[in-house]
Amino acid sequence: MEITFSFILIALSSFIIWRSTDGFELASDFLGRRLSKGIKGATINAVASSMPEFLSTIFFLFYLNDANGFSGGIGITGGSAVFNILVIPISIYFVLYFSKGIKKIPIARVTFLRDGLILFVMTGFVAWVVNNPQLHWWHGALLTAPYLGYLIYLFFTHKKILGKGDNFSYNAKDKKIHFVDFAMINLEKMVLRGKTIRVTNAWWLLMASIMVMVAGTWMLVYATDRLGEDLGIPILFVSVILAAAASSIPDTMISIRDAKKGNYEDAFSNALGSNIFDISFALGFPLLIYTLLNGAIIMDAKIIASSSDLWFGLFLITGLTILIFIIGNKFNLGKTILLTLLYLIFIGFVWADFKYHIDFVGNVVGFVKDAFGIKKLNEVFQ
Amino acid sequence: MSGNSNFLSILQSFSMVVVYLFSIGFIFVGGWFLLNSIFVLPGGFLALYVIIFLLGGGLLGAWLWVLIKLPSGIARAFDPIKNKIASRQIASAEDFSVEIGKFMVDYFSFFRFDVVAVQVGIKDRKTTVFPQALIQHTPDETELQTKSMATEEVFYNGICTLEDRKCHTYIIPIWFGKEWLGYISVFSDTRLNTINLNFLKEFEELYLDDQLMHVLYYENMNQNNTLNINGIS
Repeated sequence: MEITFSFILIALSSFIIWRSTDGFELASDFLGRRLSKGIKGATINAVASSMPEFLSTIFFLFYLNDANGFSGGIGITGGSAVFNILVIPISIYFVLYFSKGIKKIPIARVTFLRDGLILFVMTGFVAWVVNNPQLHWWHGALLTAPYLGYLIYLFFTHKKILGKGDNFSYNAKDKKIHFVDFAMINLEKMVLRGKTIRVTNAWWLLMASIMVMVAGTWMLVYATDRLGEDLGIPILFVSVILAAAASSIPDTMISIRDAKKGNYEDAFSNALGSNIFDISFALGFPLLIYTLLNGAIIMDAKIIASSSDLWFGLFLITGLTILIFIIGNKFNLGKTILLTLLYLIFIGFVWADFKYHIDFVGNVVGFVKDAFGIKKLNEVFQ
Repeated sequence: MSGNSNFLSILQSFSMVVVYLFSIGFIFVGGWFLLNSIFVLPGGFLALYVIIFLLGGGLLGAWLWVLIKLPSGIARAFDPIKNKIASRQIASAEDFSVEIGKFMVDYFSFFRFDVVAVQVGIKDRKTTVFPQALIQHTPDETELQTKSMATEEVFYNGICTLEDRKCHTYIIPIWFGKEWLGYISVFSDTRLNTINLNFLKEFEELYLDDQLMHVLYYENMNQNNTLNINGIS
C-alpha cells in the first residue's frame, strides 16, 4: 500500500511539474520575445526546460542533507540526460509517424555534432567528478563554469547577434474559470483571467508557475526518498529511472509540440540543449552552494561506484547517440529502434549494477592501473 | 566616442553585477547561518530558503538592472527618433505624435510600468492614438487639453476602459519654457509608483519638449516660410 502511494505521488508530481512548465513556458516566451534566438535559447528556454532537475537537485541535497541526497541529484540529472537524449527522439518519431505518417525526419547534422560534442565532453567531466571520494565547492564551480562562461560570452557579444525575435502572438482565453481549470492546474487561465498577456501579468504567471513547480519537485523528492526506503533500493537507482522520467515529461512535451509544428531542429536540439544545462548548471550550481555552506561531501564507496558506472554509461550512450544521429541526414525507424535498444540496455545496466554491485568503472580503472604499473608506482611513493 | 561610451557602459554594468552578487551573497550566507543558529530547521525548509533566495535574488537583480539601465536605455532607444527629426524624416507634428506613441508603448514595457496605449495631443493639431485601434475608447480630448494646461507636473487622471481592459491614465503636459505645446495621455495596466512617474516627467523634460519644438519649427517653416512658431520668434 505504501509503495503504491509513493508511485501515485511520483505520478502526481510529474503531472504538477508538467502543468507548471506550461505556464512557465508561456510567461518566459513572452518576456523573452525581444531577445535574439541565441540568447533566448541559452537562458530562458534552457531554464524553462531544466528547472525541475535544478529544483530537484536542490531538494535532494538540502532535504536529505548528506551524500545520499547528492546521489539523488546525480541520479535525477543523469537519468534525465539519458531520457532526453533517447526517449525524446523516440517519442518524436512515433508521434509524427502515427499522427502525420512521417517516416523520415530531417535532422541538422552540424547542430547535432556541435551540441553533441559539448555534451559528450561535459558528460565525461561529470563521470570524472563523481568518481571522487570527496566533492568540494570547486567541483561545483568547475561544473557551473562552462555555462556561466557561455552566458558571459553572450553578454559581451549580444549586440553582434542579429535578428530580434518579437514574433510572439497570443490569443486570450475565456475569462470564466471552471472546475476543470483548477483540476488541470491551468495557471494561464487562473493568472491571466481572460486578459491579453502583458509584462506585469507575465511576471505574475512566471512566479506562480515557479511556486507550483517547487511544490511538484518537493513532492517528487519526498516520494522518491520514500519509495527507496520502502523498496530497500538506494535513492540513486530510484531517481535515475522514476524521478528522472517524471521530471523529463515537460521536455518531452515541448519537443513533441515543436515537432508537430514542423520545427524538427528545435525539437531535437531541445533535448541536447537541456542536457548541457542540466549537467552544467542543474547539478553544478546546487553542489557549489551546498559545499560552500556545509563543507565537502564525503561520498560512500558504494555510491561512488554506482554513480561512476551510471555516468560512464551515460558517457558511452551520448557518444553512440551522436554517432547514430550524424550518420545520414534523416531520423528513421532503424535509428528509433537503435535508441530504444540503448535505453533498454541502460535500464538493464542500472538494474544489474544495483543487484550485483558491478563497479564497472572501478574495475576498469583498477585494471588499467595494474596494467601500466601505476598502483605499484603509487605504493613506492607512499 | 561610441567606443568609449560602450566601454564605460560595459564597465558600469560589470561593476553593478559584481557589487550586486557580493551583496546578495553576503545576505544569503548571513541569513543561512543566522537561521541555523536560531532554529533547528528541517532540510525541506532549508531547501526552500535556498530556492526562494535564488528566485528572489534573481528577480530583484532583474528589476534593479532595468532601473539602472533605464536612463541610458532611453537615450539609446530614442536616438533614431532624434536622427529622423534632424534628417526631417519626421517633419510634421502628426509624424512626431505617431513616433512618440509607438516608442512609448514599445519601450516602457516593464514589470508594473507597462504602457498599454498612448494618446498624443499637440496644440491646434489632430490627436493621435497608438495603437490606432483604440482610438474610439480614449477619453475626450478637450477635457485632457484643459487639464494639462493647468499644470506642468505629470498627474493621475483616473481609470478608463480600453476595449475590455481597465487602464490607469496619466497625463504628461508638454511645456517648452512658458509655452504649452500639448499633452501625452499614458494608459498603463497598473498604477505607477513615484519612481516611474519621475521617469515619465524626465522623459518629457529631456526628450520631448525640445524635439517637438524642432518639429514645429520645421513644419512652420514649410507652411509659412517664417520663423515664428506659436508666438515664439
